Amino acid sequence: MVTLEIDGQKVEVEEGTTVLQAARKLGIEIPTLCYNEAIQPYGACRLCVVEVIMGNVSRFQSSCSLPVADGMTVKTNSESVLRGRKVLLELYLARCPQSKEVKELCERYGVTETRFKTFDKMEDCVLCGLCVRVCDEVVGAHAIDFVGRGTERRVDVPFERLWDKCLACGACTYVCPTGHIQNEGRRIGQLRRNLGTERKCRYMLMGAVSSKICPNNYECWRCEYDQRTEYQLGNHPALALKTTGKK
Amino acid sequence: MTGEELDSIIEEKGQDAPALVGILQEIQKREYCLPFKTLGMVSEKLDVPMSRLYGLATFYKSFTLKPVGRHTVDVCMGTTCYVCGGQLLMDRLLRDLHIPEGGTTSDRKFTVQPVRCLGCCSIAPVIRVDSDVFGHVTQNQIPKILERYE
Amino acid sequence: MEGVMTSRSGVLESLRAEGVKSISPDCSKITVGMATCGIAQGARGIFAAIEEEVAASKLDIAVESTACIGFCQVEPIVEVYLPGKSRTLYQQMTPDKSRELVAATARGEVKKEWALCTVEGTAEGIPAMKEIPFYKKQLKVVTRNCGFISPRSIAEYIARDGYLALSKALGMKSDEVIDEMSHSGLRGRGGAGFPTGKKWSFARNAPGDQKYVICNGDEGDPGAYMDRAVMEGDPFAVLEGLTIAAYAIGSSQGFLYTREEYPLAREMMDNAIESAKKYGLLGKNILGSGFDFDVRITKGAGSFVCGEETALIASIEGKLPNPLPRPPYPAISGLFGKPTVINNVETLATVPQIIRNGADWFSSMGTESTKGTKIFSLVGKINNNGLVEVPMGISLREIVFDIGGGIPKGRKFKAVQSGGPSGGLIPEECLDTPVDYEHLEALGAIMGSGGMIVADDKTCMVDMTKFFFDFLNYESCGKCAPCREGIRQAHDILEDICSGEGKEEDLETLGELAHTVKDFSLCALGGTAPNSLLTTLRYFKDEYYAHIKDKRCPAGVCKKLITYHVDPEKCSGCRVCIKVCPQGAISGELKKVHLIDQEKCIKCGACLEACKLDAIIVE
Repeated sequence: MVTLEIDGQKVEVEEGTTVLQAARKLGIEIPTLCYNEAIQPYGACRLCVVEVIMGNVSRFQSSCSLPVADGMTVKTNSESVLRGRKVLLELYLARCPQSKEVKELCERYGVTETRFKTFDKMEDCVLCGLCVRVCDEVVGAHAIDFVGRGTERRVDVPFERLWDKCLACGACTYVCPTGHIQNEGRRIGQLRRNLGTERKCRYMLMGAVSSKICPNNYECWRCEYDQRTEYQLGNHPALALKTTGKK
Repeated sequence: MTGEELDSIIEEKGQDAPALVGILQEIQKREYCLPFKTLGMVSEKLDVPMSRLYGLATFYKSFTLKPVGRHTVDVCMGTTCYVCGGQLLMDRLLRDLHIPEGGTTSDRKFTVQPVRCLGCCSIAPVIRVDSDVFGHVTQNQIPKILERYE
Repeated sequence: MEGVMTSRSGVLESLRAEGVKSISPDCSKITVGMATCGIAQGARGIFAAIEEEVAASKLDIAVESTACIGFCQVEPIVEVYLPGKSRTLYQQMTPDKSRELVAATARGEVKKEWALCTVEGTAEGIPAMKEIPFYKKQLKVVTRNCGFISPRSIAEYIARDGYLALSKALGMKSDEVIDEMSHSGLRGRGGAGFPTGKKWSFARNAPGDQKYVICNGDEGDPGAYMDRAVMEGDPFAVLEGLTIAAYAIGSSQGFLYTREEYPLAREMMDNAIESAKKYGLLGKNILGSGFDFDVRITKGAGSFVCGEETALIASIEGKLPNPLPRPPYPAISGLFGKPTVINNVETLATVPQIIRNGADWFSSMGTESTKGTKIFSLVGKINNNGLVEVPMGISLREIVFDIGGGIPKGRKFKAVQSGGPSGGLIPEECLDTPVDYEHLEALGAIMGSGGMIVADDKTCMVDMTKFFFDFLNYESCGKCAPCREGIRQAHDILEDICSGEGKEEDLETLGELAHTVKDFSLCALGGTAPNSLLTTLRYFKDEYYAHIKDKRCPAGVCKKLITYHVDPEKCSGCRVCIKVCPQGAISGELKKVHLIDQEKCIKCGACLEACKLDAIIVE
């Protein structure tokens, strides 16, 4: 067990726990956009950055990726953290001015407008990478990835048209915080058009369902399995499988 | 590129992950770009997802998806070259060849692109045409330099 | 054990004898500096001319090539060795001059008028290397072989004490090697300045059957080229350093990551690896010690962020080179999840000398916190362009004015930019600062990999800051939001300021943005990105105000804020500017003062460049 101090509260957690998890255990809220417990921490949205003091060294680190250590003192809402977080939220608001999720976050942290320029009014992708990572790490389909770099970075299938690796499992759509990723519907339609009902269903492809014939005639939207897992586990089947380890 | 040609590249560079970028570079060199078909073969032969290859192809600046010209003119945009007037050389080249940055002339002769430091800062500003490095270039010398290339 | 020792020294001894002979043969020898910069200045033509001349006259003169001796300003450089007399460097050679030089050499004479200095022996009327201002305050440790040996020859490297360190290290316990490194106080020369010994011991003590060492040759900092020069000039030293690092941490596989932009460096390293393998200095059972080590070269494909450790590792793994949050540090979990040491080229090239001469020797140079020497590339608006290696603690003023010889054309010094795009701009009043990691950081700059770009009064600080943000915007991988979005927005604001559309409140916004990008970014690219902005806001705020309030660019750089005029006092009416103007914006008759049509002028600067009389004024 490791003991550390977060915002003045002592907490004892298991080794290997991240600072974010430890803080959440104490009921301390740290904003995140790129974090999902079923997926490896990525440290890209930087909203979860906190001030970490070890000995006499103070550093800003992303709490989602930082494992706890004995003697660590964490400040999740020091003046400098709050100031930086506000500017960061302004940057997000300038990038995705329409996004409901971003606007809500901004509201929560007292950001009402942004001083920065919006380059694309319709942009709603925050580039958190959850979709890419769930497809890669959890589903293993590698259908989408980042394309380009820097400000031109975006998520897409290869050559903007190679959809063949997409299982239409919908995990990316499910994890997307802003509703930007809507691959599932598009891909299901495509699969039905191209392959009819002869194809394997997405859960068969993920190895979650063994049956060879879909009892639902490949009408994914009303799939019993889908609804059952979501109701029971409160999560998308792909992620639920990952977190519970059940097939 | 045929499957055999690709096989020989893979044979030379290796099958594993550290060889991947080198293989793509060799393809770029031979084909003047990374063609869709060839990437498909690479994906199959090395068992690397196409999405990853496309990501790499669009991340690294020396890869292109559309073929570049027979001669590549790299205008160094390192700090020293910039301070010594590299931007003026770039402006001049683009004006003379009537292309945008990164563009290729309609006769496929030249592609002009910025490069972030060739490490020849002592002779700034520098341009490189294919593998020839020219130092202390002035914009009025540019037509003469381009004339040398067929 | 004794048998092993003998066979070890056996290989080295015979190569050493061969190397001594080839460095100082019985006949005269002419060596041409043929690093990338030398070649760009015409060294190939000179080499060909010399070879031709020697062959035509059937002279007994050896002709060789070497790499960069550092004084790039006076390239192409040719060295002439006259046995028993002197070894002399000649500057700014041409094919014609070198033909004459061959003839003089054949007669056993020196050519005083073209000589730069003597490196060995004396020659009348020619100063010794140590006497000329450029070299006087330098201390060649890492660059001791650069420009002095043939970089392709393992024998010449050994003749200058190469591989003694490796054979010494192999006789030591790996912990002893690490202790020696720790005692020496060597800190990573790639930028961050992390103690090398500490890094090695983390990796050494990390659990794992397979460990890796990586030489980071991804010298992406624009304005810095010492790693290229070292790889091109002394590749075996880098390789020897890497081999010692591998032995110290217990690694059997190394990688050397080079840039696509440096083909010659790669060729030299390739050749070094082949030669070392041939003589049992790489591969299985190195020097009969039972230690196995192999090196593979991998190549970047145009990306600055690959110089960052975790991105570099991802790049070798064939993944998108996006940095990862640390911890875990590469020394614990690096390449393929194994403990990995990544050292910069210059760091590794220093290693053999520390092992050979001892930690105390190394730590006797430099300052309290920063030991040894550092290579800087002194470039930009400076008289003596080149690579300079100086002991840590020397002042910036000594580097710029004593070694660099000050600013050309009698202009005024404005700033020196240290540390590449991640560094800061240091003004005149701070020039007496001693150079080490801490002092440069206190000024808001960093040592970085050692780029020092000098700016004069014709360099606009706002424009230069905008340039760095443009560079970083282009090179940011785009993974984390503060770096991707913050740099883009800062660049946008700077662009507004440079076009005369800046507002006073922009400066406050820029300041806030800079701090957020610095504190919140994932990796060092973003973490150091705002340094140029923060230092210019600190030292050159006036220039920002001039752009914002007076809509004026004092340095005459920002196109939207300047106009070109003809100075009627100086214009002789020679029509040269009229000929070069691409827009036909200049009119005037022969021998009459010309006029620039402001409507047509695109401010390309062609007239300014062409006018020999300085009659074009930029305001």
